[in-house]
Amino acid sequence: MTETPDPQTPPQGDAQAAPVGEGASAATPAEAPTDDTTTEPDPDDLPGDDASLYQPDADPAPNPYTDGPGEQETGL
Amino acid sequence: MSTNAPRTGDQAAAFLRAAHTGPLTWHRKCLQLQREARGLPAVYPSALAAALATPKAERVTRIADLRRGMVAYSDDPNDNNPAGHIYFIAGWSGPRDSPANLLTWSSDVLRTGGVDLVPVTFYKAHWGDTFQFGATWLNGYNFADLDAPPVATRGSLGENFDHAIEDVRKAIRLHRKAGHTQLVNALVADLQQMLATKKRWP
Repeated sequence: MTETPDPQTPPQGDAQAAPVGEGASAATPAEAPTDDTTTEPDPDDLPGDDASLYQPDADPAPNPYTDGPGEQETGL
Repeated sequence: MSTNAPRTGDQAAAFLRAAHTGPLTWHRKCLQLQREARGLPAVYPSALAAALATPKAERVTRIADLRRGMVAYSDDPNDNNPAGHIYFIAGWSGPRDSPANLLTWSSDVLRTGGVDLVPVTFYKAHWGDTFQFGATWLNGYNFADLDAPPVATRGSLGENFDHAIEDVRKAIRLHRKAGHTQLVNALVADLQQMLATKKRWP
Protein backbone atom coordinates (compact mmCIF):
# COMPACT_ATOMS: atom_id res chain seq x y z
CA MET A 1 0.00 0.00 0.00
CA THR A 2 1.30 3.47 -0.78
CA GLU A 3 0.47 6.74 0.87
CA THR A 4 -0.91 9.74 -1.03
CA PRO A 5 1.97 11.74 -2.54
CA ASP A 6 2.77 15.17 -1.17
CA PRO A 7 0.68 17.64 -3.25
CA GLN A 8 3.71 19.97 -3.35
CA THR A 9 5.71 17.42 -5.29
CA PRO A 10 5.41 18.02 -9.04
CA PRO A 11 4.21 15.06 -11.06
CA GLN A 12 7.16 13.11 -12.33
CA GLY A 13 5.96 13.26 -15.94
CA ASP A 14 5.99 17.08 -15.91
CA ALA A 15 9.49 17.24 -14.45
CA GLN A 16 10.83 14.90 -17.09
CA ALA A 17 9.26 17.01 -19.82
CA ALA A 18 10.92 20.27 -18.66
CA PRO A 19 13.85 21.24 -20.91
CA VAL A 20 17.17 21.33 -19.08
CA GLY A 21 18.07 24.68 -20.54
CA GLU A 22 15.01 26.42 -19.12
CA GLY A 23 15.98 26.27 -15.47
CA ALA A 24 15.03 22.74 -14.55
CA SER A 25 17.95 20.84 -13.13
CA ALA A 26 18.84 17.72 -15.03
CA ALA A 27 18.98 15.95 -11.70
CA THR A 28 15.45 16.94 -10.67
CA PRO A 29 13.56 13.87 -11.90
CA ALA A 30 15.98 11.47 -10.25
CA GLU A 31 15.83 13.40 -7.01
CA ALA A 32 12.07 13.21 -6.57
CA PRO A 33 11.45 12.70 -2.87
CA THR A 34 10.92 9.11 -1.91
CA ASP A 35 10.46 9.41 1.85
CA ASP A 36 6.75 10.17 1.60
CA THR A 37 6.05 6.86 -0.11
CA THR A 38 6.15 3.93 2.29
CA THR A 39 5.18 0.29 1.95
CA GLU A 40 2.97 -0.96 4.75
CA PRO A 41 2.95 -4.70 5.47
CA ASP A 42 -0.22 -6.50 4.46
CA PRO A 43 -1.93 -7.60 7.71
CA ASP A 44 -2.83 -10.86 6.00
CA ASP A 45 0.79 -11.74 5.23
CA LEU A 46 2.43 -14.45 7.29
CA PRO A 47 4.55 -12.56 9.84
CA GLY A 48 8.20 -13.35 10.28
CA ASP A 49 7.85 -14.96 13.71
CA ASP A 50 5.42 -17.49 12.23
CA ALA A 51 7.32 -17.92 8.96
CA SER A 52 10.48 -18.87 10.84
CA LEU A 53 8.63 -21.92 12.19
CA TYR A 54 7.48 -23.22 8.79
CA GLN A 55 9.13 -26.47 7.70
CA PRO A 56 8.21 -26.90 4.03
CA ASP A 57 10.13 -30.14 3.63
CA ALA A 58 8.82 -31.92 6.74
CA ASP A 59 7.10 -35.26 6.26
CA PRO A 60 3.41 -35.41 7.19
CA ALA A 61 2.27 -37.29 10.27
CA PRO A 62 0.03 -40.32 9.79
CA ASN A 63 -3.52 -39.27 9.03
CA PRO A 64 -5.14 -39.01 12.47
CA TYR A 65 -8.58 -39.76 11.12
CA THR A 66 -8.11 -42.91 9.08
CA ASP A 67 -8.72 -45.29 11.99
CA GLY A 68 -11.06 -45.26 14.91
CA PRO A 69 -13.51 -42.59 15.98
CA GLY A 70 -12.98 -38.94 15.19
CA GLU A 71 -12.22 -36.29 17.71
CA GLN A 72 -14.70 -35.25 20.28
CA GLU A 73 -14.63 -32.25 22.54
CA THR A 74 -14.42 -33.07 26.22
CA GLY A 75 -17.55 -31.06 26.95
CA LEU A 76 -18.16 -27.90 28.91
CA MET B 1 -4.25 -16.72 30.42
CA SER B 2 -7.72 -18.08 30.99
CA THR B 3 -9.12 -20.37 28.33
CA ASN B 4 -12.33 -18.37 28.25
CA ALA B 5 -10.86 -14.89 27.79
CA PRO B 6 -11.64 -14.07 24.16
CA ARG B 7 -8.49 -13.27 22.21
CA THR B 8 -7.63 -11.22 19.14
CA GLY B 9 -6.26 -12.80 15.97
CA ASP B 10 -2.69 -11.95 16.94
CA GLN B 11 -3.20 -13.36 20.43
CA ALA B 12 -4.63 -16.54 18.90
CA ALA B 13 -1.56 -16.81 16.66
CA ALA B 14 0.68 -16.38 19.71
CA PHE B 15 -1.22 -19.19 21.46
CA LEU B 16 -0.64 -21.45 18.44
CA ARG B 17 3.07 -20.56 18.26
CA ALA B 18 3.36 -21.52 21.93
CA ALA B 19 1.49 -24.77 21.25
CA HIS B 20 3.94 -25.48 18.42
CA THR B 21 6.79 -25.65 20.90
CA GLY B 22 4.69 -27.29 23.62
CA PRO B 23 3.79 -30.90 24.39
CA LEU B 24 2.10 -33.12 21.79
CA THR B 25 -1.30 -33.05 23.46
CA TRP B 26 -3.60 -32.09 20.58
CA HIS B 27 -4.24 -35.45 18.95
CA ARG B 28 -7.77 -35.38 17.45
CA LYS B 29 -8.48 -32.12 19.27
CA CYS B 30 -8.49 -29.67 16.38
CA LEU B 31 -11.66 -27.89 17.49
CA GLN B 32 -10.48 -27.64 21.08
CA LEU B 33 -7.16 -26.20 19.88
CA GLN B 34 -8.82 -23.55 17.73
CA ARG B 35 -11.43 -22.47 20.26
CA GLU B 36 -8.83 -22.28 23.03
CA ALA B 37 -6.59 -20.22 20.75
CA ARG B 38 -9.47 -17.75 20.47
CA GLY B 39 -10.36 -18.11 24.15
CA LEU B 40 -13.82 -19.52 23.47
CA PRO B 41 -15.87 -21.97 25.53
CA ALA B 42 -16.63 -25.54 24.40
CA VAL B 43 -19.96 -25.68 22.57
CA TYR B 44 -20.02 -28.04 19.57
CA PRO B 45 -18.56 -31.52 20.09
CA SER B 46 -16.88 -31.74 16.68
CA ALA B 47 -15.47 -29.56 13.92
CA LEU B 48 -18.14 -31.00 11.64
CA ALA B 49 -20.95 -29.72 13.88
CA ALA B 50 -19.22 -26.34 14.28
CA ALA B 51 -18.83 -26.06 10.52
CA LEU B 52 -22.44 -26.94 9.73
CA ALA B 53 -23.64 -24.45 12.35
CA THR B 54 -21.62 -21.57 10.91
CA PRO B 55 -24.01 -18.93 9.52
CA LYS B 56 -23.83 -18.65 5.74
CA ALA B 57 -23.14 -14.91 6.03
CA GLU B 58 -19.96 -15.64 8.01
CA ARG B 59 -18.50 -18.09 5.47
CA VAL B 60 -15.72 -17.24 3.03
CA THR B 61 -15.65 -19.71 0.18
CA ARG B 62 -12.79 -18.36 -2.00
CA ILE B 63 -9.33 -19.27 -0.74
CA ALA B 64 -7.96 -16.01 -2.18
CA ASP B 65 -10.28 -14.10 0.18
CA LEU B 66 -9.06 -15.81 3.35
CA ARG B 67 -7.42 -13.52 5.90
CA ARG B 68 -4.97 -14.06 8.72
CA GLY B 69 -6.94 -14.76 11.90
CA MET B 70 -9.87 -16.63 10.33
CA VAL B 71 -10.59 -20.27 10.99
CA ALA B 72 -11.26 -22.66 8.10
CA TYR B 73 -12.50 -26.18 7.49
CA SER B 74 -11.48 -29.01 5.18
CA ASP B 75 -13.43 -32.23 4.96
CA ASP B 76 -14.53 -35.12 2.83
CA PRO B 77 -18.12 -35.84 3.87
CA ASN B 78 -17.82 -39.36 2.51
CA ASP B 79 -14.67 -40.50 4.31
CA ASN B 80 -14.47 -42.33 7.60
CA ASN B 81 -13.64 -39.24 9.65
CA PRO B 82 -16.93 -38.22 11.23
CA ALA B 83 -15.51 -35.13 12.91
CA GLY B 84 -14.24 -32.84 10.13
CA HIS B 85 -11.15 -30.66 10.58
CA ILE B 86 -10.67 -27.02 11.57
CA TYR B 87 -7.50 -24.95 11.39
CA PHE B 88 -6.26 -21.35 11.72
CA ILE B 89 -5.39 -19.09 8.79
CA ALA B 90 -1.85 -17.98 9.63
CA GLY B 91 -1.33 -15.78 6.56
CA TRP B 92 -0.04 -15.49 3.03
CA SER B 93 3.60 -16.25 2.27
CA GLY B 94 3.30 -15.23 -1.40
CA PRO B 95 0.82 -14.14 -4.08
CA ARG B 96 -2.83 -15.02 -3.51
CA ASP B 97 -3.20 -16.68 -6.89
CA SER B 98 -1.62 -19.84 -5.47
CA PRO B 99 -3.36 -21.57 -2.53
CA ALA B 100 0.00 -23.18 -1.69
CA ASN B 101 1.05 -19.73 -0.42
CA LEU B 102 -1.60 -19.73 2.28
CA LEU B 103 -0.26 -21.23 5.52
CA THR B 104 -2.37 -22.60 8.34
CA TRP B 105 -1.76 -23.54 11.97
CA SER B 106 -3.13 -27.03 12.48
CA SER B 107 -2.93 -30.04 14.78
CA ASP B 108 -1.86 -33.57 13.80
CA VAL B 109 -0.36 -32.54 10.45
CA LEU B 110 3.41 -33.00 10.85
CA ARG B 111 3.49 -34.54 14.34
CA THR B 112 0.73 -36.60 15.95
CA GLY B 113 -0.66 -34.34 18.67
CA GLY B 114 1.59 -31.46 17.61
CA VAL B 115 0.74 -28.03 16.21
CA ASP B 116 2.50 -27.06 12.98
CA LEU B 117 2.30 -24.81 9.93
CA VAL B 118 1.20 -26.35 6.65
CA PRO B 119 -0.25 -24.91 3.43
CA VAL B 120 -4.02 -25.00 3.01
CA THR B 121 -3.37 -27.48 0.18
CA PHE B 122 -2.05 -30.04 2.72
CA TYR B 123 -5.47 -31.38 3.68
CA LYS B 124 -6.45 -32.40 0.15
CA ALA B 125 -2.98 -33.65 -0.74
CA HIS B 126 -2.49 -35.84 2.33
CA TRP B 127 -5.90 -36.50 3.82
CA GLY B 128 -8.17 -36.18 0.76
CA ASP B 129 -10.12 -33.41 2.50
CA THR B 130 -11.38 -30.60 0.27
CA PHE B 131 -11.40 -26.99 1.47
CA GLN B 132 -14.92 -26.13 2.63
CA PHE B 133 -14.82 -22.50 3.78
CA GLY B 134 -13.17 -20.00 6.08
CA ALA B 135 -15.06 -18.10 8.74
CA THR B 136 -15.00 -15.25 11.20
CA TRP B 137 -17.38 -17.12 13.48
CA LEU B 138 -16.90 -20.06 15.84
CA ASN B 139 -19.00 -21.55 18.66
CA GLY B 140 -21.50 -18.68 18.56
CA TYR B 141 -18.83 -15.95 18.68
CA ASN B 142 -18.11 -13.49 15.89
CA PHE B 143 -14.64 -12.13 15.12
CA ALA B 144 -15.28 -10.28 11.87
CA ASP B 145 -12.94 -7.68 13.36
CA LEU B 146 -9.91 -9.95 13.30
CA ASP B 147 -7.93 -7.55 15.50
CA ALA B 148 -10.50 -7.58 18.27
CA PRO B 149 -11.61 -10.30 20.70
CA PRO B 150 -14.58 -12.40 19.55
CA VAL B 151 -18.04 -11.15 20.49
CA ALA B 152 -20.80 -13.43 21.81
CA THR B 153 -23.76 -13.37 19.43
CA ARG B 154 -26.20 -15.64 21.24
CA GLY B 155 -26.55 -14.31 24.75
CA SER B 156 -25.37 -16.24 27.78
CA LEU B 157 -23.36 -19.45 27.67
CA GLY B 158 -26.52 -21.45 28.42
CA GLU B 159 -28.52 -19.69 25.71
CA ASN B 160 -25.68 -20.23 23.26
CA PHE B 161 -25.57 -23.92 24.12
CA ASP B 162 -29.33 -24.33 23.65
CA HIS B 163 -29.02 -22.57 20.29
CA ALA B 164 -26.19 -24.93 19.34
CA ILE B 165 -28.32 -27.98 20.18
CA GLU B 166 -31.01 -26.67 17.86
CA ASP B 167 -28.35 -26.07 15.17
CA VAL B 168 -27.34 -29.72 15.33
CA ARG B 169 -30.95 -30.93 15.30
CA LYS B 170 -31.61 -28.79 12.23
CA ALA B 171 -28.48 -30.12 10.48
CA ILE B 172 -29.59 -33.69 11.23
CA ARG B 173 -32.99 -33.06 9.65
CA LEU B 174 -31.45 -31.46 6.55
CA HIS B 175 -28.87 -34.16 5.97
CA ARG B 176 -31.31 -36.98 6.71
CA LYS B 177 -33.56 -35.56 4.02
CA ALA B 178 -30.56 -35.42 1.66
CA GLY B 179 -29.62 -39.02 2.41
CA HIS B 180 -26.19 -38.22 3.93
CA THR B 181 -26.14 -41.19 6.26
CA GLN B 182 -22.57 -40.81 7.55
CA LEU B 183 -23.07 -37.14 8.33
CA VAL B 184 -26.34 -37.88 10.11
CA ASN B 185 -24.73 -40.60 12.21
CA ALA B 186 -21.89 -38.27 13.20
CA LEU B 187 -24.29 -35.47 14.08
CA VAL B 188 -26.55 -37.77 16.09
CA ALA B 189 -23.52 -38.76 18.17
CA ASP B 190 -22.71 -35.07 18.64
CA LEU B 191 -26.28 -34.31 19.67
CA GLN B 192 -26.29 -37.12 22.22
CA GLN B 193 -23.09 -35.78 23.72
CA MET B 194 -24.50 -32.27 23.90
CA LEU B 195 -27.70 -33.44 25.57
CA ALA B 196 -25.68 -35.44 28.09
CA THR B 197 -23.58 -32.36 28.81
CA LYS B 198 -26.70 -30.26 29.35
CA LYS B 199 -28.10 -32.86 31.73
CA ARG B 200 -25.00 -32.50 33.93
CA TRP B 201 -25.61 -28.80 34.44
CA PRO B 202 -27.00 -27.84 37.84
